[in-house]
Amino acid sequence: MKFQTMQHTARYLAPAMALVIAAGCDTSVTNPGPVQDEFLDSLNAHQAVVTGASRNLSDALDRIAYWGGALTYEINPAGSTGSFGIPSSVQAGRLELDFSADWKRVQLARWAAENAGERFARVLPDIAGAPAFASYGPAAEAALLAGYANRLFGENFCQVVFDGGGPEAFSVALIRAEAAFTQAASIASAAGETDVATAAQAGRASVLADLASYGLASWTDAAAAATGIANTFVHTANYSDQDQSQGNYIMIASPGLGTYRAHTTWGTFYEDYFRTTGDTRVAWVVDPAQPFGDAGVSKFGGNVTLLPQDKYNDPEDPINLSSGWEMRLIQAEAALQTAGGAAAAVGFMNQRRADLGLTALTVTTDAQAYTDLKLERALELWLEGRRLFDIRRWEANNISGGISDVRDGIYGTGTAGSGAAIGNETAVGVLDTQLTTLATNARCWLIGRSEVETNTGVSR
Amino acid sequence: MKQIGSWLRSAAPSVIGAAVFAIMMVLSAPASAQTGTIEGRVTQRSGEPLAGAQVAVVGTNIGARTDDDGRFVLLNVPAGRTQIRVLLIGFTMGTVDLAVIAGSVTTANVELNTSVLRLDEIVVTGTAGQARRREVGNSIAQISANDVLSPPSDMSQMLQARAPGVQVMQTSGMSGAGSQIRLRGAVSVSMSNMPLIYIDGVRVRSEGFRRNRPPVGFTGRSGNIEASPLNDINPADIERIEIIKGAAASTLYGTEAAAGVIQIFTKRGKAGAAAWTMQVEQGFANTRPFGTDENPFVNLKPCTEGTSCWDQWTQNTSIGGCGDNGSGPPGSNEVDKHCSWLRNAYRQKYAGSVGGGSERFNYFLSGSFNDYDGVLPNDNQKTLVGRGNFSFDVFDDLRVDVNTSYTNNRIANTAAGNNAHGVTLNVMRAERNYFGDSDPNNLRQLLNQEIKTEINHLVTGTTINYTPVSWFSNRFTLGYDLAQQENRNLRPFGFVRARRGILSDEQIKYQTLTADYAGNINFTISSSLRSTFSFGGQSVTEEVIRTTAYGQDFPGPGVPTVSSAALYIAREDRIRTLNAGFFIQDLLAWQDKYFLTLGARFDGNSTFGKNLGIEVYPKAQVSYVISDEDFFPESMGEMKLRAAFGFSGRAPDAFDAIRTWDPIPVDANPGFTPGNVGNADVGPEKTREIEVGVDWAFMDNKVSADFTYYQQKTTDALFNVRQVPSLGFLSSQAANVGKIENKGIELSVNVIVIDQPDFGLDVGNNFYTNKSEVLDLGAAVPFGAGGGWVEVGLPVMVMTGIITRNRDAIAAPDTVCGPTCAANDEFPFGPQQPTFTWGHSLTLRLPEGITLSARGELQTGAWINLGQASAALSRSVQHPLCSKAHGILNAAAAGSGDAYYDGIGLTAWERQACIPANHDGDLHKYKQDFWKLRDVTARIPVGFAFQQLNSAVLTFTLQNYFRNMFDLPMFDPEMVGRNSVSSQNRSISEHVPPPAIFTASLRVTF
Repeated sequence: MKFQTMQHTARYLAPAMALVIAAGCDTSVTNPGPVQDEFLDSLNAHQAVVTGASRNLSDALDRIAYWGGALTYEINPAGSTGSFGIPSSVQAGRLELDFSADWKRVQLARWAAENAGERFARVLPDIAGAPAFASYGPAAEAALLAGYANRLFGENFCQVVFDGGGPEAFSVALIRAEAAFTQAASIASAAGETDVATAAQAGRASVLADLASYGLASWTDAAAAATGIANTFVHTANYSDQDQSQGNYIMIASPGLGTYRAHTTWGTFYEDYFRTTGDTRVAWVVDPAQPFGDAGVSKFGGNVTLLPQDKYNDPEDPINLSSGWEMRLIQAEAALQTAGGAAAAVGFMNQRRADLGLTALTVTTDAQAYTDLKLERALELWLEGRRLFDIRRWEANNISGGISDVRDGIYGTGTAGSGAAIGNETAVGVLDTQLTTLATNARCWLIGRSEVETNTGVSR
Repeated sequence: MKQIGSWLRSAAPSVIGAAVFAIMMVLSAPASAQTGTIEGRVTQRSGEPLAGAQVAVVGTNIGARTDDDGRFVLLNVPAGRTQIRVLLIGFTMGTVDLAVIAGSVTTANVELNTSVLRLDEIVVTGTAGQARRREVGNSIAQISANDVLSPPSDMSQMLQARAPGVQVMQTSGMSGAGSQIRLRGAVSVSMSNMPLIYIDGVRVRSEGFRRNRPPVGFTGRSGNIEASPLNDINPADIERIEIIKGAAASTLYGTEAAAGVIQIFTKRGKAGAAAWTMQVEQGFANTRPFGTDENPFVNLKPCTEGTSCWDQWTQNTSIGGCGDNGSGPPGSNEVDKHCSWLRNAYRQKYAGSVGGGSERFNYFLSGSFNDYDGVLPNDNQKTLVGRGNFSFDVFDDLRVDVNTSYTNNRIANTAAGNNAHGVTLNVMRAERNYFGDSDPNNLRQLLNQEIKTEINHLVTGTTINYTPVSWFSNRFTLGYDLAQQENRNLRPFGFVRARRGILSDEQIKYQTLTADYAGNINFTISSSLRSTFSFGGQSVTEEVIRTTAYGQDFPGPGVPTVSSAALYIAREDRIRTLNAGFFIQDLLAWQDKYFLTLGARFDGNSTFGKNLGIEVYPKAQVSYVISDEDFFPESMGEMKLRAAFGFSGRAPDAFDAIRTWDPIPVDANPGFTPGNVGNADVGPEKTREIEVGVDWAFMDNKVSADFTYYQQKTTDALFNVRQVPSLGFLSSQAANVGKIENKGIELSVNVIVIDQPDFGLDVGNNFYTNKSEVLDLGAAVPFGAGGGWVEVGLPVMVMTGIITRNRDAIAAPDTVCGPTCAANDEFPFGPQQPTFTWGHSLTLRLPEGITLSARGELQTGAWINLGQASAALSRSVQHPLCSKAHGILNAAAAGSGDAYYDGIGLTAWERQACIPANHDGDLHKYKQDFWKLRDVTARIPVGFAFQQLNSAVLTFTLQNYFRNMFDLPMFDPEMVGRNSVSSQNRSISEHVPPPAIFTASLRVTF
């Protein structure tokens, strides 16, 4: 280009550069869907924050209840090991570091509930006309959820970690749960939310009993908290059939929805117990059209007879977090802490049995009463994610009666589809000890690998 | 109106640009001038006419293509001294200086010499406007339609094994399954490694279309394939493909181009009478054995007459039995006929095109229809493609090209992959499947599903080339890529695994709006030194809008809609991203043999964090045509030395920069759950690439070779950093923390062994190596990504798993990986991308124009997960891999423990793999090394039978007939899991491998 054409160049270059600038001027875009964190400070968003935390708790609970149920022989594996199934290692009685998903779900449930409370406490003073935190309904609900999430955490994990810190004893979570329940009861009472207050009281009774097993609380306080709760009271973690991800995981893995037949009561104590007693707390059913699980199970030598649990027969069936009948058992166990407490304990237990039309227990010795109590708790809290901790605390504290009192792995001699206990002894040979005895590393979940690998405060 | 407003906002930069450009054109409209005409003929040195050569008046937009007799006419050429330039792929550039006299006709005949290196050929991709090959410092792979002898069934096959550094892996043998394309391995861990795709200058979607799957529940209820937008292009429409493989070449494309760019150029009409082409193709696909010797089709072809299996198929009158072609659910007849789940799948294709035009207007119109059955019973793909390309020389200095294509693609799939409702999974697992038996009369109920995908794909673009003065040229492209996808997925009322039925229907709109401007100013500084200053800008707006309706539980039989269901829900996602930037570049040319290019691209992007500003990507290239030096012996042929250095990037995802909470339903109530942690500093990862190479043709052009060494280093690599779970946010957060490296060589050697008039033999080879390594993790701890593991010192996304050191010993398994262990306590086997690839071809020319060719491909060094075996063996399936162990175990008395296994003779590996309680999902890692015969083709001119036609060619092709796997005991590396086009993950699931395809094709021109 010659120098004299520079003016010409400018004439053409100017609009072209304008185009370039126009193309590059603004790249800001706001996409719909996910919501920015600060939006949740609004009063109008608080209920949804609590509701979300309740879903987090439900999601954590049903998975723990499912695999915990398999570990403690509340159910046996019947096939699938992947989606909706019971992993091979759990089938073999092992809880491993790799079960990060459970750790993460429980942490999410805990953190979401606690964070909700912290958010409310932080923003309420700055919102004109907003109620005080001490009488704010959503704050009570958040605290209640935090209580149950911490109870789930403490009862099922060997150690606990909070907010990027180091490992602590599981009891720290239970203590945290007790504080949350206490706060929830207080706020709910001030807010006039009776149901939340009652649930908080029931939750507090249960963690006080947990802590009392280790001498970290008094059985008297636990019983006192339980006393005021009516037999018929129930507070639940809720599920929905709106979509599969919201459904009760235990039920979805059962037959009925069409795909999975991943677990069975066949071979468990409850199989024969229900056949014998008809105790509806541990009901199972027979479907002649689906006699076997959905895949072979190695330790049973092949396909497994399907006797699906009938406690949850719809994806939206809730799982109990607290109930009045659990309170009676807390009172019963508290009574057994005093020599000669058997009569009172059996009295509490028989209230429930009478309600179900079952034969009343008789008063013999304190030890027998404790054995009865263990069975009643096993039946009452079946598939609710509580059994593992009961076994752990009784075993750790040498509670008389021993866990063998609730037997696992009873085999019958019936035929497929008959509804009678179905034998597979030939294939199984002798009963493998792992079918009947809880492995030592199956008392509680380990800290998840995801925490171990990301949290510098937790060593490998 | 809201939609229009939204569109206007998204298109604002483009619209403003277009308006400015239009004003600019009006302001500088040409004044009338004294002109003349140039006419002439272009021939080879032998005198043979050359058709299709581009003849252009230098410094103007005046141009034409030669007709079949090599003749051309250029009208309205400004009077005075001028130069015409003649270009034709495969020949050296021809130039003629001449004087044009106003009102007269000047004759110019041009002879072209054959060029193997094609140094004067114009390339577009990665250059600011147009550039001659000699000017470009990076390697550019080019695939010309003329080089592809076998009629490819889709674009993926057209790319496969044809250029070094271009890795094309099919993902399964299912209808509609796209291919995974990688250029020089993986440059990103967290972002896409698919190259950008341009068609005639218009950016189109390169990621796979969303898999047809229900929005809730298990995501595998599907055929589990991803279709690729690349396959919406009719291969017969393609004139050539340019591929630039890394950041050194793709800098001017800015953020997003780190994985390279593939640009497709479609055919254009030539001046002259209409030239018609018609093509008909018939063929069939057949699955070759892919199992073990004992079970070659992994139960999918189970029946031999006289066996119990045969009896099961024949004795059930409800399906008619083997050999019967009777009634049954759609798609089942082939199953019945052959007592097999696999069939010989009929294929047919019909295509036609017409092109022509005048000096100022050219057109190319084409259409094609194909109907390909798949080898599985419900599989089918019907594709209808139409294209119209038009070129207008509006003024002498203004040319407008309008290119539009429309594709209607209908894909039907059999439920397959890792899917408990799928045919393949349940058949492969036999009696340990979700039915508890292998009776085909039960399993065939799984065919009663409808998994249908329809994609309507429009790509349209207008390119304006405006050269107001000879030293200043402008190119403006406005492009729009719109794909509408419908995924319909029905398990009807009464379906065996969902008795009350489930239906989902997903409507997805993908759109990409491109506005692209490039200006070039040529400076003649001296007789030897020339400069081309380029500048320009580009904005790309991408939007994906997805709405899904899902219903379950229908009241009864019939054809339902979602609203027939007792329960139905809807979902919606909208993601829009905008990238805009500009570039400057200067090319200095000394004596037309030394070239230096310096440039930079400046980008902003809607996904960048708020703390980030404009990103800068510099580039520098040198090119030296040493063979133009006097000292270079003529006997040494043509040689170009080149080196290039440049940066490109990949943007983070739309929500990575902000802390968010996700809305979630809680029964009928709304809730929030933690979503992204958010990172206000997040920006693009930047890949820096250095490549050096040489292009050389010697021995009278009988040998041509190009060699490239490349090294790519991705800094600020976006890693999805795992969050500490106890801090609440569980999702990993993208952060620019890592550093990864890729390096290797590319060598392409083509030899004309025999070159006689009636007989010739060409041998082609291309070699490619790739070595990747994670150099730094920054603040991140080692993590899993793309089916592999990311840890310093290991290959990027290395495949890790359990190693059995004493695999074949009758002993307890030794699985200790010790100091070689990765941080996940597993053994790092190797990368998931091949470290060595060898593509090779042989072409034999025989008398009468008959051509025979064969192409093969060897890939080694990559590892793959045999996911199907893991899933099956952990469920006690009697798997072919464990047939020996199962035989031992089934015959022996029950027992357990190593002493017992020693006694019955189980190897260490069998104890891990074949006993479900011991089984671990990370056990089945294999080297995927393979050699495949990609195609064998015979082209036979049959013009003698159609003497009224210009030409007629009959082509027979056999694809994928033979493969050899060196380590993988069964299946095929080209059958992987879901989301397989877009993801990095290489894991074999319950699919079928790409089948062998035999086709006969007749193509006539007239």
